Amino acid sequence: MRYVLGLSATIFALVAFSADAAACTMCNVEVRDTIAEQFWDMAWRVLAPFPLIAALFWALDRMK
Amino acid sequence: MTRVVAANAVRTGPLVSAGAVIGFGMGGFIDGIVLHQILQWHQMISNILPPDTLANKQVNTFWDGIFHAATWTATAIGIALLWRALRRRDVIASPLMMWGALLLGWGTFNVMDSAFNHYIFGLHNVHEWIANPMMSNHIFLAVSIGLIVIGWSLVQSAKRTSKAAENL
Repeated sequence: MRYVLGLSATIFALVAFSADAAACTMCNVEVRDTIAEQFWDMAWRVLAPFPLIAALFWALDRMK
Repeated sequence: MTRVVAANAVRTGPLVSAGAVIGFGMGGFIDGIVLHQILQWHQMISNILPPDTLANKQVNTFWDGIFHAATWTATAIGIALLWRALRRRDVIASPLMMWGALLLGWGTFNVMDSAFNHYIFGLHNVHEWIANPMMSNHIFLAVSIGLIVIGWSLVQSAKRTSKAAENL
């Protein structure tokens, strides 16, 4: 369980930070600014369902 | 090689949880590939920022990428869990149970997608380009619950089959 949570948290953080950095390098200023303005507000919404995998795993792994 | 395990020591949880996590991730890919890219019914934030200009399309594609990165992560974790499960001596690799777990995970992904992205946050609708997009959300949710019911039934059926075999 701790490995699943740890790996998930690490990868989500890496994806979020690298995507934030990538947004800054985009050529289209309008696109770059739109993403930058709403980045964290959107990021947590888009990724919100995924930590529930841990709950799904936790519930099913205990099944006899 | 045949594994001999005491009947009361057999566990189904590790296989079902691994299958469900893979199903969760692959369910996300089905949504992304079929509904975002092939049919183009919606994109990740198409209800907030309709992809009707090139710039809006690019922003939506960016968030589709973040979504796909997360589904890839879920699938990778599921494969690691499956690898761990299949190395255990008390886990039987039942194909029926695996199919059930995959459907269970797929349905769970869709229900989470419905709850968060369609109803709570309103990031997108299943089909943005019809007169009543909310109806497509309701149908999607109903189908998703159906996937969970079928998946759970298959898992239970596989459990009963394996218990009957143990009792022979």
